[in-house]
Amino acid sequence: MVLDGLSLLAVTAGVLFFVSGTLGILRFPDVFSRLHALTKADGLGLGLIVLGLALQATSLAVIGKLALVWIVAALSGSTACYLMAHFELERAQEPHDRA
Amino acid sequence: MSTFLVVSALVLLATIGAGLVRVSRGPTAADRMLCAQLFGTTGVAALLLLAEAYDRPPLRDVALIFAILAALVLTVFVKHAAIHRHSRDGA
Amino acid sequence: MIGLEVVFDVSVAVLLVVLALESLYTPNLFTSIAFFIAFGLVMALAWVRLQAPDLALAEAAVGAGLTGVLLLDAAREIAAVRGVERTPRSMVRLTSLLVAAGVGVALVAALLEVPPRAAGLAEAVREALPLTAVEHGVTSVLLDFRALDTFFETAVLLLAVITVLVLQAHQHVRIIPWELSASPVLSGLVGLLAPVVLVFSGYLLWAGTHAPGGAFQAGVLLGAGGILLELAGVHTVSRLPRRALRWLLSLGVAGFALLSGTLLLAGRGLLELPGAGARTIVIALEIAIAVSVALTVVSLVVGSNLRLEPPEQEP
Repeated sequence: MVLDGLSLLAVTAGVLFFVSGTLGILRFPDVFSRLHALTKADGLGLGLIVLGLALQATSLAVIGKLALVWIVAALSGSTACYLMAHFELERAQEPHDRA
Repeated sequence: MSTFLVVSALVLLATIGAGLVRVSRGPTAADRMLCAQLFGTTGVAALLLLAEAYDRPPLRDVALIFAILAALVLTVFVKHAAIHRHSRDGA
Repeated sequence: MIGLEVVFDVSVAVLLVVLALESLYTPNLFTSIAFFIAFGLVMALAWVRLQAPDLALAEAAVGAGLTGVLLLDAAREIAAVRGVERTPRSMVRLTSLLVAAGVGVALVAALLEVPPRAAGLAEAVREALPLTAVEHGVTSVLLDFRALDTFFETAVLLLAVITVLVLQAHQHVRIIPWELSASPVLSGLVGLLAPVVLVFSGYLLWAGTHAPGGAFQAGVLLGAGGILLELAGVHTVSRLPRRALRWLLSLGVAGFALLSGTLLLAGRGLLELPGAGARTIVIALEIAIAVSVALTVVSLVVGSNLRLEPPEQEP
């Protein structure tokens, strides 16, 4: 029962992070702030959902796979955002920018 | 519990639908790709939720493939964009 | 009250149509590809809802991932020639419209022929499953009942990669080398991901005998790992001797050809697997196909970056 409650809480919080991340992507004024919104949804949203599901898991193997999914997504997500921010920053500093 | 999980997946699907506006609006290529990145993670989360809701373990494998290939697509994009800029400067 | 599943399915279907239209009609190549990747993602969700996890795996690996990479690669070459804005020719448009309309009409006609609630062949496969070497229906169809189809599929892949390599060797396609100044962050990511990719593709190959998975998905995943390594400046496939690369690319087709030849000589039917040792044969074939698919994937994407020596002296 307690586990179910915690699970509900974590998954709901995770979904809320995705919703707010999407709002941020839609409403924020420039690409850097939008990247900011993305990383929050990406990391925390998925992390909380994985946490909620792990509380429901019946075997250690399932928990392991869930954790692996989150680790891979978190690593690639943050790397991708770093690379994109780096790319945009270089582009913004170019003298003849034709975005 | 499983109804709750499916509703959560449905909300995630709705955020993908809303995010499409940013893909078409851009303005930069990075904006579009960061949406694709967000969709990828959202899809991963939805798959994990459905795997639990319908008790289908293989869906977790699908989610892991998604996560790995999202990294590949993004890397190729950044390389691509860098080269495009390079060739534009050269022109 | 409308069921939750119906709401989910209708949302997926509507999203798919919107994504397809956006992907086709947006003028910017980049936007189009971003929409296409999202389309593959939602398509995988659709396969999940249609209870086809094997197809969801393939769609996630090939549809959203690999095709996205190939399209980005193509856009890169196009952008270097004439920018990222699309300039559709009306003739091309008209022809593709006619072809698409024709296929659409044919599909609808075929759909009307199917009796409602047709069971398909699922029941027949389930009954015959104990006769095969593996415990998963999809794998038994691919490598036992209909092994001939899979034989030809590997041959089609081989033809495709031969075409690409030949065109590149003769400079008919414009070649722009990848920028190889790898960022340390990217190298770090690849260093962490590469072992995961390797183990996971092995797992998918093994899972194929009793659960969704199999040679093609494992091969594409392994290939994705290879591309990541190449992009991070770790040259594995591009350092392979050309002769070895050719042999490995044709490993799947060679395996099938060897098997059918041996079976015919032994007086059995083409690809009629012997009872004893069938499992070993199927798994060996799966490994061969996975290796070929992986190298094909890497060659298609980073092929233009392979260090091409002048054509070797053929004996």
